[in-house]
Amino acid sequence: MKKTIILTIAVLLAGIFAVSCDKIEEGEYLKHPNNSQQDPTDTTGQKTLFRKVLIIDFTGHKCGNCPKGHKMIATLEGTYHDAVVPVAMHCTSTYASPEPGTAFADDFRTEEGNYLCTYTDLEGLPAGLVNTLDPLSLSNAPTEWATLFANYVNVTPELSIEVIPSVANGSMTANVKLTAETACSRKLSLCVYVVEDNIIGGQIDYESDPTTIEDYVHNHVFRTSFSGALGESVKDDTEELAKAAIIEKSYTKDVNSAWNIANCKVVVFVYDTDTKEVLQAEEVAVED
Amino acid sequence: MKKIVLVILAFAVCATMYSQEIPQVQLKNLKGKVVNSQEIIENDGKPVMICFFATWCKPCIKELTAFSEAYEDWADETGVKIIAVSIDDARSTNSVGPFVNARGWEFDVYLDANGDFKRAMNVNNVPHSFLLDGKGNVAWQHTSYLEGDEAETFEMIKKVAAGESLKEEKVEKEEE
Amino acid sequence: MKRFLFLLVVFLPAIQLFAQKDGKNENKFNVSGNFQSDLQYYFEDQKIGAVAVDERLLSNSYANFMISYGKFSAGVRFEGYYNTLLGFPNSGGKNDGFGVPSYWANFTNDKLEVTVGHFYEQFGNGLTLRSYEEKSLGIDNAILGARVKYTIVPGVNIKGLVGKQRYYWELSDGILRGVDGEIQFNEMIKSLNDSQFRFGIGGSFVSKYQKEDNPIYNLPNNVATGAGRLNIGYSGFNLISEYAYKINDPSADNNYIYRPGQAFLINATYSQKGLGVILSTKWVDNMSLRSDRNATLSDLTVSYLPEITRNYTYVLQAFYPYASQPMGEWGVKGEFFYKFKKGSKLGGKYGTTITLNYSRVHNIKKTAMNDSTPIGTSGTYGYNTSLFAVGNELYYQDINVEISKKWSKKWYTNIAYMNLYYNYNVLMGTAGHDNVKANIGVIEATYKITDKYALKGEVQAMFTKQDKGNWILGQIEFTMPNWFFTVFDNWNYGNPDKDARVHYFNVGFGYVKGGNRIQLTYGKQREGVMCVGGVCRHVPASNGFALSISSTF
Repeated sequence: MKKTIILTIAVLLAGIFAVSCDKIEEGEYLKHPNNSQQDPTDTTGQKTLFRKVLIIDFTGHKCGNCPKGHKMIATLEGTYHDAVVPVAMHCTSTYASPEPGTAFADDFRTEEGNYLCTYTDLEGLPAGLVNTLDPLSLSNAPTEWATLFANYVNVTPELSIEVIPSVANGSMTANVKLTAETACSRKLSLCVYVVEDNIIGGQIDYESDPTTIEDYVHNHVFRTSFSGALGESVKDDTEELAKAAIIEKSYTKDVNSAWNIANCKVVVFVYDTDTKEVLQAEEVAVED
Repeated sequence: MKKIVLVILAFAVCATMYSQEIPQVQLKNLKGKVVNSQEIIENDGKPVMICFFATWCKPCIKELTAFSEAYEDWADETGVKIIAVSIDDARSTNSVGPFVNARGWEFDVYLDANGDFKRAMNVNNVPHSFLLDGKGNVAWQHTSYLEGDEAETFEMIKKVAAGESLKEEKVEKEEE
Repeated sequence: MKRFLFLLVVFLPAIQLFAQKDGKNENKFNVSGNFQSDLQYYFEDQKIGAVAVDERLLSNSYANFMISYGKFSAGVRFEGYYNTLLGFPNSGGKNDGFGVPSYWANFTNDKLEVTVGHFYEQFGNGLTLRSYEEKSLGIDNAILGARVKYTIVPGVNIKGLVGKQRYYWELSDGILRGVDGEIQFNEMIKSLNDSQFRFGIGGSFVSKYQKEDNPIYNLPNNVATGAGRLNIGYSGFNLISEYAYKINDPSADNNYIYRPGQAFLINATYSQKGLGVILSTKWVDNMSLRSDRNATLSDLTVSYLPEITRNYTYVLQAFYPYASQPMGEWGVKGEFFYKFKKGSKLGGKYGTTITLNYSRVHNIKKTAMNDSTPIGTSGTYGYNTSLFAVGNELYYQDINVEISKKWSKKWYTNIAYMNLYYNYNVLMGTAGHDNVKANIGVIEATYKITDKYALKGEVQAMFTKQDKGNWILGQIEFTMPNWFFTVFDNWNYGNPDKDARVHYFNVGFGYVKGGNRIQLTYGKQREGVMCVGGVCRHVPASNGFALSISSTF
């Protein structure tokens, strides 16, 4: 009896050891080592309609772990190119308040960003929302953003977005056209943001040495929204929107002198008002 | 929701009709030996006190210090045995031995590093003590430590040692 | 679940009848349980940064019910969060609601214990696996599955388990499999039963399965971790050590690097009556393991890395708490307890207890793989280090002296002094903040008016030039049979910002009877940090009424 038990245990142990350990050899860590292929824009040699994925990156220039989020976005852009639509939302007083007289003098926080920060009830930075505005889907692990992102690769979008931005007389206009690619019976909301690339400023990065970087390049920095943090409803019933039906909107807003228009982009996304899933996103430079 | 209320009621009815017995849980003594909770309460039919404590818990230390000072007298008079169960986790489990020994506490001390016994005894917070009668049933329990509580504790130990039932008294009080 | 409840309702009274008939049987049918409810009403208080909550009132409650009959027992837990109190993990509302998060059934005899349903478990010191609950922090990573414990011969114990961890009201993605074995030779070998020399070994192995799902990295589906431990004792001397190793486990914690993890604990103690000495050290590198590689904060932890520093409970001593750094830390601790005997010069009539404590924690020395790859870059091996390589950065240091003395039947005092160094940036995850150096003093005195009425006074002060500056705290507590009344004020009188020199005033009372406790307090709570097992949680400032009820039955 005793022998049987000990034997059983030994076999079980050996079994567990044998099956439950996967070692990845050095040099095999990456699936696409040279950022080759995987560009959904160019699978057949010509531009086709494809799903673009919104990533809202809640971040802060004094948050030493946040560059992990920035790097993940850069990695995704390196692999998926135009399919990535990032927005860097600087928030919280601990990690994003300005330090006058230092490299951290800029205050990247905005009313809308603060609102989203409260709305998502976030408990720490970095935090990301990948193609959704559902606070329950908030992920504190940039590494997980890639996994969440991959869910949308090769998924055909239900809508397409066309944006034509323009600047004149100190105000910015965005003309947005939504086209139903398939019949759609969802309630829809539309968000139109302005983000700015290439802002040089301070950033804490625990992975760099020294950890304070004075001339960090901040990309995708959220500047303003044309229609509030959560946008506005553009279809508030469940009646079917026929295929190829169009919704058009036009927004205007004053330009802030602190922005460098040459580096600004308009980010547009449309989401399901009920499930909060982002159905399609688009990003266009304000100036060509 | 109704069902939940029913379950709670059913439990409550049962709870009032049956006294609590000590569950069987594995603990460790200070030498690393695995012991069973039902073995450690053997005391020849005399009462046993189980005191849950932690080295970081100030009221627990006050309580056990007070018990320690009175232990000899209590044991002489009633034969009571006091068992101190530490709920210190891995951060301080290994410090419990020296901590207790330095204070000169004469209790049997056991380690409940992951709170298994604590949960089995439904302890919310420490300090929490249980007084067992000679048959190993919980006759009385007490949570928190307020200065002077040892007097009431000793009263209870004497009653239990004398075989008096504390249950009836409790029922009477509730009816008042 | 509904069916389960229904069965309980139907069968419980039936079993009870049966049990009554069976009065002669030794086995008794036992029912027990506990209940705790914490409610807080929140006011807005801009001065301390306390926000008003939309619900005004928030509450956390739970109740456990357990039935046992002889060798069988079963239990069920109800939890309700309407809505979750501030400062508890909630992840945007995941924790809110009411339900039955755990239920279990158990069979135990002298040799065998089998549990199905939710259970808690710890292997060794917890380096490879610790599933536990810490209600005050909102941590509950119970495993849902099956567990067997078996005593092969006395002194030889094994355990095995499979399951998934609880994640709020759901379960983790990953599956855990684990075994643990331990041999205590003094118990196993009869002739050594009473030997002064004690010797034991143990080992554990845990494997996590989570499907690889990343478009960029090749990730292991199965991650294994193993540990060996050894304890040697002779008379009052004890040595406990454990070493753990984890294979490649790219995770959110380590930023998807592939190097293995290691941890080493050594703890030596000596004690005799009136004297205790503890020396310990630990070295940890990349040793966090969670049942979901993307989990963060306090979610789904599998490995438990105990802090080497002391767990302080005086408010100002616990102001800057240390938290284990799973990505790398080295620490030492020395602790000394001595009791001056009753009747000796320093002992007086009742004896005097003195506690000395010192601990120091550093980073570990890491070197980059090559010049072009910074330490810790995602998708690389990460960095190089060697066991017990200590870095130059100081994370934490404390020196603490505490003297407790009973002067007479009426007077008792406890005084403590602490010197602290706290690496604010590393431990709080910020940068550019000054590291905190503080001196903290505590005087506590209890005066027993009569046998049953007592008055306790406490003064605590913290002096520091950094962070929020100096604090002073005064507390008076009056206790009588079953009742206690307390009032305290924690004043940030030395805040460099004059407008922020706030009084955190609190007043409260409570009633205790048997296993029941009820407490009502009104006051302000400062913004703070609570840490356990390497996890720190931000506790927001609050202002309001708090009611706490707990009961064991």
